[in-house]
Parts: sequence; C-alpha cells; structure tokens
Amino acid sequence: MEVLEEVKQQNIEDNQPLDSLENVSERSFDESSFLEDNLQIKEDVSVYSDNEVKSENNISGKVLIKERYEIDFSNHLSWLDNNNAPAYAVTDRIDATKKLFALICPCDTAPRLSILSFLKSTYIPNLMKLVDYGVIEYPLNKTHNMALIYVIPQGGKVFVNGTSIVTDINPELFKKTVLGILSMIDTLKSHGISHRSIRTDNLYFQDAQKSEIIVGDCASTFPAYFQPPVFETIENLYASISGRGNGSDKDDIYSLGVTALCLATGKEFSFNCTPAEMLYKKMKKGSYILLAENLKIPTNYIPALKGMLNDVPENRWGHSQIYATLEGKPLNHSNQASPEKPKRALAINGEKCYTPNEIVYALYSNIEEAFDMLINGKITEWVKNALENEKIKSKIETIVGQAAVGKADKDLCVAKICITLNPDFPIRYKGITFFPSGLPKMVFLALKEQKSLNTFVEIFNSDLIKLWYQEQERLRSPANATEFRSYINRRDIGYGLERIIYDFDDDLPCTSPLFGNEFVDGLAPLLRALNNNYSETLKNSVPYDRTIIAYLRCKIGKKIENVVVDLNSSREEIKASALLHLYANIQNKHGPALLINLTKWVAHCAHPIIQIYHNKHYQKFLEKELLKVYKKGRLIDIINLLENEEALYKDKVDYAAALNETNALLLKKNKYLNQNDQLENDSKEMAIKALSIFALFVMLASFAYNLVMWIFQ
Amino acid sequence: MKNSKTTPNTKYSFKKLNKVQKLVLIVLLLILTFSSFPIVFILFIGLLPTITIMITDKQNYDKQMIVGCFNIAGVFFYLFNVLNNFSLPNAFSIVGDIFNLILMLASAGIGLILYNEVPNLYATYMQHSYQKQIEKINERLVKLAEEWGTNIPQNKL
Repeated sequence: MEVLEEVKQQNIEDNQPLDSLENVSERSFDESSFLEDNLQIKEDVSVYSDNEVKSENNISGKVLIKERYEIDFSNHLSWLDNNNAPAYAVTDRIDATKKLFALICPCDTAPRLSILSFLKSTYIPNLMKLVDYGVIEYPLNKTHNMALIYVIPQGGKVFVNGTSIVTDINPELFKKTVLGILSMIDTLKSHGISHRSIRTDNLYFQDAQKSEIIVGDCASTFPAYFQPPVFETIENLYASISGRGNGSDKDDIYSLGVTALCLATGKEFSFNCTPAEMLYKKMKKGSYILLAENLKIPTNYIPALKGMLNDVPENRWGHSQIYATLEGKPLNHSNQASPEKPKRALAINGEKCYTPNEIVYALYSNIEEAFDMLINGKITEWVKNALENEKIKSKIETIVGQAAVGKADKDLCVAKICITLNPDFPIRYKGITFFPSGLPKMVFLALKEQKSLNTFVEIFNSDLIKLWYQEQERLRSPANATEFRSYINRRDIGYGLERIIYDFDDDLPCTSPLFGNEFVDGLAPLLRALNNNYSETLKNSVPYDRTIIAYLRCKIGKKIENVVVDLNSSREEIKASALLHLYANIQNKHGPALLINLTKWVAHCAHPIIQIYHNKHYQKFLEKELLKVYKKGRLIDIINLLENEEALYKDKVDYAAALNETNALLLKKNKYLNQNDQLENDSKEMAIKALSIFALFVMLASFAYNLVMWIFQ
Repeated sequence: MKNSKTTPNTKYSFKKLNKVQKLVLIVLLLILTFSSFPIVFILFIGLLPTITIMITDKQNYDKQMIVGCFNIAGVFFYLFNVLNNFSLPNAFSIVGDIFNLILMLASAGIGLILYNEVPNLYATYMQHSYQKQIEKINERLVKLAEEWGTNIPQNKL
C-alpha cells in the first residue's frame, strides 16, 4: 500500500493525472477498438458491483499472461480481493466481452498448485470459474507471483459490511445455494480436493439478477489460511493456521453450515475473538448452540444447520441428508446425535474434562501434569472406567510401558496419548500444533522465514505422523511416509526436511535464496529463475542447494536418483557433471530454450570437468571454447563440448603414451646420470681396446704390405 | 688377503724356466742372434722405444701393445729390405740413415701419441654425447610436462 501511495504521489508530482497516464499506456498498447471494449468492461464492473470500494491507490503497468490475458494494475478491484490476494481487472485479447479479473497470490504463502489445472479444466456449478493462471511480475512488490484469472461475478458480493446485499434471501435461493455448494463440495471431494475457503465474504452473486450464489477462490493460498475462526471446526481451530492441512469435505460442510447460518439470518457473525477463545467457546457450548443462540432461524432450516455444524466429524451431515431435510422428505437414517458425554470426568489442572476433545485439549495444555497422570495410570483408569474401550486402553498401556523405560520425551508421550484418545484432533509437539497434511506448509514457511527446524526434524524422526494416520479411518498415509525417518537421518543433498515437504505436499513451490523473488512452480520456471537471478557475486557458488535438488528429486522422480548420488560425491568433477546433465536434460525437455546466464553459471562450475582431461593444451582450448558456448544459452552445448567421448578417448590414449614415454625418458636419464662417474674410465678403456686392435691391424697391414713388396721384388 | 697372496696372477703368469732350460734357451738365442745378426740388429735398434717401454712401464700391457705394434709396423719396412740384402753392412747402412731411423722411431711415437690422446679424446666425446642426450631428454620432459602438467611423473632428477 505504501508503494501505491508513492506511485500516486509521483504521478501527482509529475502533473499527470492517473486517468491520462492510464489512457496513454492503453493507447500505446493496443488498438482503439480494443480500448473501447476495455472501457466498456470497466463500466460494467462498476455497474455489477454496487458495493465496490474503488481503490484509492493505483499502480500503472500491464502484464500479459499467455499472450492473451492482460492484467491492468491500474484498475484495482478491491471488492474482489480475497485470501490476501489483490484483484485487478483483466482484458481478454481474444474475447474482449469476457469480464475477468486476476487474483495476485500472496508471496508469504503459496497457491495450491496441485489443484489449479483441475479447476481450470472443469466447470463446477457454484464455484467461481478459474479461467487461467500464470506467473507474472507484480509491480507493486516487484516480485513474481502466481496470478489466477477468474470470471467476474456479475452480481457482486453477497455480504457487504456484515449484512447480505439482498436483505431477504428467499428459501428457494437458500436451498439452492446450500445444496449447490454441497454438490460442489462432493464434486471436489471426488477428485480428492477440499475447498477450505467457504465463508460469507467469499460468496458472490453469479448473475446480475442475483439468482445464483457461487463460492469464490480457494486456490490462491494455503487451505483455510485466511478462514476466520468462526468458520473453522474445533479441531482446525486448535491447529496452527498454517498447520490446518488440506482438510476434508467434513471441514467444508462445517464452514458451509456457518455460512448457511449467516445466509439464513442475513448477517455475518461479529465475533472478535482469537482462534483459541473461539475453540474454547465451541468446545464448551457446542458449535450450533454457540452460533445460533439469540438468532431467529427459520424452523425448517434448523435440522440441516445442526447437521452441518455437528462437532463430531463422523456425525456431520452430508448432501443427501441435508437435501432430504431441506426438501421436507423423511430421512433415510436417523439423525445421529452427538455421542453422550462420559459420566466420569478427568480432572486436569483443576478442571473437569468429559469429552475426548476437552481431555486432549487439557492434556496438551498441561504437558507436565499430563505426563505424571500417564505414569500414575490415571488416564488408563479413566479410559477403562469412562470410555470402557479395551482397544484404547491397551494402546495407552503400551504407550505407558514405553514411557516408563529410560528418559521419556514427555511431549512425545502426551502427543501419542492424545492421538489415541482423539484421532480427529491435530498433533501438538513442543508448541507446534498441526495436522500431518499441514506440516509441510509449516516447514515451508519456517524455511522461508529461516526459522529453526529442529522441532520439525524431531517430529519427522518420531512415529507421531505414522501413529496419527494409523488411527484415521478415512485417511491413508502418504505412500512414502515410512521413508521420512530415513530421509531425515540422511545429511546428503536431496534428502532431509526439504525432500519430505516436497514429497508430502504437491502444492508447494520451490523456494531457495538462489531464486531471489522468482516464483518457481515447475522445472522450466526453476531454470528460468536461476537464469534471471544470476549475478557476478554468485559466480563462485554452485547453482543449486539442498532445497532445489530435493524439489527436483520429488518432481522428476527416480530417474535422477543417480544424479543425486553423484551430487553427493566428494569428487568435484562428478558433481559438476551431474549438475550439468540434470539441468541440460530439464532444458531439453521442458525449456526454456535460451538460458545465457545459467549456462554461464554452469560453465563456470564445470571447470572440474575440464580437469578430467590430462592434456593442458586441450584444457586451455576447452576454457576458450566455453566462453563461446555459454553465449548460445544451451546447456547441452557444454556437455557436447566437455564430455566428447572421442576427445576423452584420444586424451586417454595420448596420456597413456605420454606416461610411458616419460617413464622411459626418466629411466634413460637416470641411467645416463648414474653412468657419468664411470663414463670416463669406460670410455678410455674402450678407446684403448679399440686402439690396440687398430695398432695390431696397422702392424699386420704393414707386414702384409712389406711381404707383398718383398715377394714381387 | 691370504688368498690374494697365494693365488697367482693367471693372466700374465709365466712358468719359470729351470736353469737348463734357460741355458738351452740362451744358447739357442745366441745361435739365432749370430745366424741372423743383421735382422736382430735392425730389430734391436728399431724397437728401442718398445724395449724402453717394456722396461720402464712393465705392467702397462696396453701401452706396450699399441706402441709395439706401431713400432713393428715401422720396422717391417726395413726388415724386409735386409732380407733382400742379408748382410751386416746393409743393416748398418739402413740404421745409419737418419731418415730410416726417424721413420722407425716415429712409428713408435705415433703409437705413443695415439695411446696418450685417443682415450682422452674419446672420453671427452662420450661425455659430451651423454650430456647432449640428457639435454634432449630434459627438453622432451619439459615439453611433456607443459602438455600434461602434473598428471605425469615430474622431472625431478
């Protein structure tokens, strides 16, 4: 917002009104007809949204997504802001009649990447249609963010300033909306997705006649990250906001129940309390009683609302039951009432607790006392007498037996007990409260904020997550959950916490200091981010870190297991070669085609590969060639240059020959030097021998000559 | 040491002659000398350098051999001349000619010069040749080191 102010101020100082600046930029950008369409859309938007609050702060600039959708940052549609994501008007270059807007996903969390393609490809009634998405450079924060493009709901928001815009939501619309959203929840559930952003300020009238209500965005941030406490179940309220996990359709139904209550009464709830206070109130009173007290609710809605707001997830109603109730049809099965409270209480910290929720909450709040009670057998006794459940009792006895041996981790023991007593509750360990599916997101945030990860390491090193999933009836643990402990204990690159979070959670983008402010949601963006973020200061560092390799291992799979092994090698040339092959393969398969900076970076790191050649002249030649190659921006060229098999073979052969020659020469030289002392004597001796023979020959020759002469005389 | 004293030098050992044998040998030599006196005379005068070396440098057989061979080669020219005219005056006239005498003695001198200088010259030549070889090896090793660096054994010798 401060940046917006600055931009505006700058415009005022330049005596250029914002409108005129906007027009100039539009004119220069496209044809006049397009401009007219664009202005028409803006007018339409202002008509649809009676409750629109015009943004006071505008920033100029336009960004194009996929050569089609043009986001106009000067047109901030603040009434469509959602999940901490600002909304801007979008023009479709192909079909300018479409009324679109873009949500710019916040950088402090991450969009739900794994569901975007599904939401884009599918039309689900009562859910705001995701038209497209893409990463853009957001001028306000100068960061790269995911932009989600939606169709503008033509009827505006349902709730404005605490009340619904239509003062009287007629029973038909209420029924249609509740059942429609329930169908939407069912559809999402069938694809393993939960919405987790069903709340009053995320409801819109789809048409100008305000005859259909839709639910807005659910993908711009972590699930339920911006859900107000009132819309969350007791279990979710106890978890940290980032540790709420993906949740389930039961959580969505609960949120719908609260939303439906608001629709029925025409007012939003105005609880000004923290999640902890809301949790305590809901636990003590029950959700429906807490929310519905003093409200005038039409009688025919009450059973459905009660069913949706049931605090026991198993007993929460689904689509068929609510449909039957709202249509006035008899229920196929009886209304499952909440289970009776156990008659015997367990006193923890001076407070009597009856239900598993209360007991678990109290145990987690008083770890020391809880551990003492565990060792003293009070909890076992209570389970035996109050719950009368032999299975739970035997499990608790096992945990007590383990706790009594050696120096027990009190937090761990209490967490195990709590998981056994109430598997629906989140896990709490050393101050971190989470659902297992939310844990990767907590680690992601901690990594981003560079917080200590020790507790997370302890959690993954324990069997808490395994135990939690064992207790779940409807959930399966992740396929490789059994390997988490081995990942944690391996210090090698490509393992550790980073590997777990990307293995466990497909939503998370890759985050690394090497990316700067780039948003990395895939393999090509990863290379692009490294390429864009390269600077001379990074030249001497390597273009990867633990997070990047862990991310790539998770996204590419076992194919790069050998590369990961090589990256952990102690030999620099093996590491450099592995990295080169990894990035070159990604560039070949996924792009981008041109990566000049990254090629330069990798080329700089590839010097150890040059050293595998023995020939110094060839090494210098390669160094010179590398300077030429990186300008082409293709990593494969470096491989072709440095790992040329023919050149390697020739170098090997030549080196062997040179080695032999050197050894022979050294041997010869050594021999000469050793002979130097005797050389004089030997030479003289040899000369004398030769001379003796010569003298003898001269004598014989003289004899022969004179004999011949004498004979012929 | 004991062995070295007791073991005779087999290379240059001669069997000692007894008195009778010596006497017979002397008698034979005297007969031979008197019967071929012109030859003996030329040989005695012509081979004086060799005889001198045999007396002064008894152990140096190589020197004796080289000087002797050259000396005899020079003497042969006049020895066959005496055979044509086997008379004492002819022998005296040959020896009396200073040119002949110089030729006979000079041949021994050539042998002596060759004996003294050729081994030294050859040794110097050989040393120079070895040095050249070492330099060539060093040059090649430097080239190899430039081309292959520390990958090959270094020229530390």
